[in-house]
Amino acid sequence: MTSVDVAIVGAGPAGVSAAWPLARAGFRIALLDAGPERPRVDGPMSLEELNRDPDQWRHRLGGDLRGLGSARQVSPKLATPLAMAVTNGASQALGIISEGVALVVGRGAGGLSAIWGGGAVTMEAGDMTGWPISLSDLRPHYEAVAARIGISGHADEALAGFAGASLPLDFPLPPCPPVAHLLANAAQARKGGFAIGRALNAVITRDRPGRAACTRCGLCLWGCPRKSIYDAGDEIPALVEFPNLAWRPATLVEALRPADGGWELVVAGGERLRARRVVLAGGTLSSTRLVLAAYGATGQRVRLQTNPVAAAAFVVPRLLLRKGDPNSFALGQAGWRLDIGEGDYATGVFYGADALPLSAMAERMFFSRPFALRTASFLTGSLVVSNSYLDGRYSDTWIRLEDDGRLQVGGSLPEAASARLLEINGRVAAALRPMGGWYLPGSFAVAAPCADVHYASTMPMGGCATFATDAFGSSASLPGLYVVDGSILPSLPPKHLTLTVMANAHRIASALAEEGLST
Amino acid sequence: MAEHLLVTGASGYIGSRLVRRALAAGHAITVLGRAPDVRGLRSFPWRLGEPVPDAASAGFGGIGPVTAVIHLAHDFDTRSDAQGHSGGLNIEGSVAIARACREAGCRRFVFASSQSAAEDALNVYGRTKYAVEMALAGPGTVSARIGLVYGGEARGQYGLLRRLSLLAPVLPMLDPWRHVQPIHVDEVVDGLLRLASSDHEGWVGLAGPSPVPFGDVLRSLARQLGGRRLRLLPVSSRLALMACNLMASLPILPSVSCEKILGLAGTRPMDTAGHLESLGLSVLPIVDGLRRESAHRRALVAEGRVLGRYILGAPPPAVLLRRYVRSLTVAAEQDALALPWLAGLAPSALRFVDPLTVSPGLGRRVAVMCHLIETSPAGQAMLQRSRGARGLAMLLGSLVLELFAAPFRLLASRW
Repeated sequence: MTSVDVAIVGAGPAGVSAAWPLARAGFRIALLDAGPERPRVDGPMSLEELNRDPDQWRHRLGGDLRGLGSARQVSPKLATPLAMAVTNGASQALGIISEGVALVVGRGAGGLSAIWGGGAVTMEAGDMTGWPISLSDLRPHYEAVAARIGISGHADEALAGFAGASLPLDFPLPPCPPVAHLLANAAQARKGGFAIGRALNAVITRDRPGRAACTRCGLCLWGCPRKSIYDAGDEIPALVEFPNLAWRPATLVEALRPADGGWELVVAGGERLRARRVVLAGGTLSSTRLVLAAYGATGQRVRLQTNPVAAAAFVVPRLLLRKGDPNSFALGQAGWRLDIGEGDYATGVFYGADALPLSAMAERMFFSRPFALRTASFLTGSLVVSNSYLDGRYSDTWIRLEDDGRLQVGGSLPEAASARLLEINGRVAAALRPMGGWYLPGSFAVAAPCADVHYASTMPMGGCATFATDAFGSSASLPGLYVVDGSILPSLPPKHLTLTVMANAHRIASALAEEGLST
Repeated sequence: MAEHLLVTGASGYIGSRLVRRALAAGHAITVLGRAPDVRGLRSFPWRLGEPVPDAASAGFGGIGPVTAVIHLAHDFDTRSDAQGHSGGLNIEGSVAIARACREAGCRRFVFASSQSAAEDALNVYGRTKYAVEMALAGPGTVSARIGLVYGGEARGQYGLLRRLSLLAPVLPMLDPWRHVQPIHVDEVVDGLLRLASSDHEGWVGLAGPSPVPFGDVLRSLARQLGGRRLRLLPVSSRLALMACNLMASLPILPSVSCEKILGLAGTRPMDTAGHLESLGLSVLPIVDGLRRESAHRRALVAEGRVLGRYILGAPPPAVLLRRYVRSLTVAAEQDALALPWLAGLAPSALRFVDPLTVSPGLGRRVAVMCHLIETSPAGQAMLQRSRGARGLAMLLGSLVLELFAAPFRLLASRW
């Protein structure tokens, strides 16, 4: 039976960020991931090239036309062949089931960073009240992670603090003209508690070893051909260079058991792995499932926080006759923040529509299909799509470990949350009007719970919840086990959590590396 | 009655068709297989020979536990062991599933066997299938001895026969007079689904009731699928075996394993008329079965032409029509819609009944065509023309018609 010093369960953003300090410290590490090796996407190098290619359907819908398969209402981002390859079958394989929520579960090296939107945002001091750590504890790790993965953007005054002003940044990608128009008129909107600024994205604009700078080819949703968008799976080859790190794909950890002053990991297929320490980074759902199983805590509901989210579309009439530009990118182009009283706030991201699939948009329009498709195409040049997020306190989602070992996720969207989101949309629309952006009537839609894919806070650091952990993601009942992913965030402000999760994982792993393994 | 079916071999030629039809009929499906199921079905990783996960036969999400197993998975390793059939994997693995499911309370087990199943069959496959049948025999278990399957997607053995029949105008063929009993894949699927809720035991023949010469099968495929006349040169079995070894070593020609030749040579007639009647299943002669497929295809092409003209505003290119037919065939949705004859004359009239949401039926077909058009160069060109000042002019021009059509669409969706 193999025995290692540290077993890292999960090779997504959290696991990979934890792996670096531990690998450098020389421990014998096994980096485990449930998914098979994911083949890289091979295809055209730009949206323009794709649009001319007679075989483009293969790339956009999949060679087996699986992109046509989903008759249910799914975000177009999740209906591309790449997204379906990462998510289809993942919940089954990981033993996660859901009812009544739009759950997204991914599997494979890189986890959901294989298909994420790249939003890079840090917490502010105000977001971390009640946390057992402060922003200054986290700051050096934010900087280390940002330097490692590459973040581009402008440290915007309007969003200073919100967007991590102290991060090392590549120069920003130029936003698409409709968003640029809004940004140029940002001064008009400063009143009313609404602030808008350039977005920070985990996309490089300068070449790095193994990754090329973004050229705005527009293929973001179908798989970045240049590896400009950060994908934790891309760091695996570099980690494998460490002689003390063993990379174990296609290794699903089914259970954890204490053994001999350390842990025994039960792998699907019967293998057993021994480790003195376990770093759990399988993503909130998988990690919580393993911990609950280790406690034997079946049948209890555990609070899960998610960010209620809604979407809306805005048109910039000044640019109505703009024809759209295949030189674009589908990631967030601007971020906004709206104060809604008593320290509470909502945030959002603006996207251009140049690289969005039109059929999906056309389906949501009232018009007959040919007219809707042409209208969607016509509006591409002047459309801005917006997502808005609320604090996790507004959510009503939970998880529960069932008797058969699977994790059930459930929840609903409280009336208060939808009402808030609607009100916020109204205020955003009002703020954008003087800036030259008009709300497109009928385009507002609140998403089903869990559609935000920000799952967190099941085992909060320093909390008094049943399965709380300490400032290092550990608990006295399960010594030597460190949970480092979204599960341990004590609260879920309305921000993208990935960078924070990575910085926190880096912090815990660095502390573990320094402390050493002598117990 | 809606069943909860546990299916193995669900990604194969018959299996994938079975799963689609079963879902369309309202059954619940659980899949046991190697790769995670890309269709999003409830699936458990499993290989023949491994223990069956307990949770697989349990109920889920409001659906009860498994009511019937349809076992299509087969390990094709043809190295025969001491008993002359392929390693215990098929026998032990199949018995293990049957036992696991019986213990979980499932009463019905349908095993996909073959017409070649016999203790003294010439091919390893036939002997193995027979051995598995004997090992599984018991209450609640039925073995479906499936004949020569054709139709649907060009996969597996059917795909091979298609390629062979279209390979050349003259083909040397072993035993073209050997009688076989062809059955369409949809008829096989229908039969297996009926067996899943019937109480037949022992074995049941799922094959055409009237044997036809194998050569006729190849000739029918050549005529229906390629519009060609195929001539067959009868070949002695020894020469055929040598030729197939040669074909296997040359990469350009499709390789036919000797197993298949032995399988054909050893085919024995099976009296299935009684079985088919007791199942309420009717099996068409292959000529009619292929004609029906062609008829379906032609209907879908016509439908695609109408929908393509409706959305694109111009006749869609042939390659787009083929893709449309393929998308629907792959999704086992091959029944064409009954579009009003007016739509054929003036497809733009469809805007008066364009559904408000993506509902099954017209809504779904329109959505499929829309995706296909968007991902084609012709569609991209159309979408480009819809932008800018010219696009605005065109939109404003059709806006009046659009608003006029709105009340009709509302009415049509109510009704």
